[in-house]
Amino acid sequence: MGCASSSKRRRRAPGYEDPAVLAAQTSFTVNEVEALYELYKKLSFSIIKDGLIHKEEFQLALFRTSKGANLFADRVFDLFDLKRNGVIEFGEFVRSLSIFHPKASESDKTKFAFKLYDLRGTGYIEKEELREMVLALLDESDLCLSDSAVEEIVDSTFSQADTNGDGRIDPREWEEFVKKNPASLRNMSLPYLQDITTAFPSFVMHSEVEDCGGIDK
Amino acid sequence: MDKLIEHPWFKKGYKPAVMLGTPRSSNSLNDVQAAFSTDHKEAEEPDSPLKPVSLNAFDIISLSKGFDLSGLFEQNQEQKASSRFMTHKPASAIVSKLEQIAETESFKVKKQDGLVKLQGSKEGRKGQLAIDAEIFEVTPSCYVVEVKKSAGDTLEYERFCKKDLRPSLKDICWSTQAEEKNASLPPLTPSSKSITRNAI
Repeated sequence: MGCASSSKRRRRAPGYEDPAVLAAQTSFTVNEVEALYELYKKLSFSIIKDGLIHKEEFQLALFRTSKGANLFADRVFDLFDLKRNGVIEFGEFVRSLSIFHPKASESDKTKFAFKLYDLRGTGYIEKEELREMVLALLDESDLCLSDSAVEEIVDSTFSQADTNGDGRIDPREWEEFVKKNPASLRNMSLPYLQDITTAFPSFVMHSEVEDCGGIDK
Repeated sequence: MDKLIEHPWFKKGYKPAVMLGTPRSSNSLNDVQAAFSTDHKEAEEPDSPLKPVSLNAFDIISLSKGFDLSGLFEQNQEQKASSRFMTHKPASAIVSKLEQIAETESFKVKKQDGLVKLQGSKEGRKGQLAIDAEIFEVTPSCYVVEVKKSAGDTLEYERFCKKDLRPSLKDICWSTQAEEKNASLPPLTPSSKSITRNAI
């Protein structure tokens, strides 16, 4: 018995929050939050079966392998992990993904991107951080650029953005830059989120049923 | 001609906020057909002059797979069917190369700003193969070409890349170790390209 029962008081993944609450506070509808829960379950049980998304599980989903390191995936993971406890809980998952919804505000997307790029969390994007990220991207793609070419790109972009010339990009300068270069936020919108209920159908009754080997608190 | 411009397909791909790295091309075969259809008198409309989009450092960074969260949602293991090349040759040389490739394989070519669209004439497993090659300027002496399938069967796309695209582009692009690796990998195998930190 046990696994197959569908009691409404079923234990949920740690960090689970009521879909209605999450819907009220994010760009998602209740149905979309429920669909996200289906996705969340799949991701959070992929390697470590504890109903929480660990770094390896996140990497597995993005890259189809849990091995290796990627600066950018690390940044996204850290930002999703609002509580900074090394895992992404369901509530964190939904709240963070909400910013990637095409309907989410430009302002939220702009702020999130800024935090993504502020590698050391100083509140500014320093030139070294920009350079580090460009190098990481070239490395990841196995593309080669000479040092001087990299400098040229970094300098040119930096001088466009750092309008007060203090050697770092502050949030206001970033806002201005994004207004002039809206494509810089291209990675902050996921059209998939609009079709989430078709991709991950969740029927209210069944969403209460956990698979065998489900969560035990 | 106006009808072509007004066609939703044209508007779809050009939203500035989601230009690169998102499934901007229509997957609907009808839309691709419409773009190439002679009903729209495309022959009368000249191709627009080559104007590659300029990439700033943040654009370059946003190309990272680590930022591409669509991987969280993709149910099937189907490969993204896209590749990136880098070259020191001018954009016009890239376009000529692509046109050469198109001619050998009897593909139709359409050019718009920094985008070259190729459409195969043969009816494949999932309709005609259509490919987008987008050229971006990183610096005046360095361009990135992103090639991706916009319609048709992925396996046919892979075959096209392996047989026609890569060998042809080899002499104008840096051939990277990963490209060579990927060329010999069977499709649907997870790509390790984005993870390995090669010491070049």
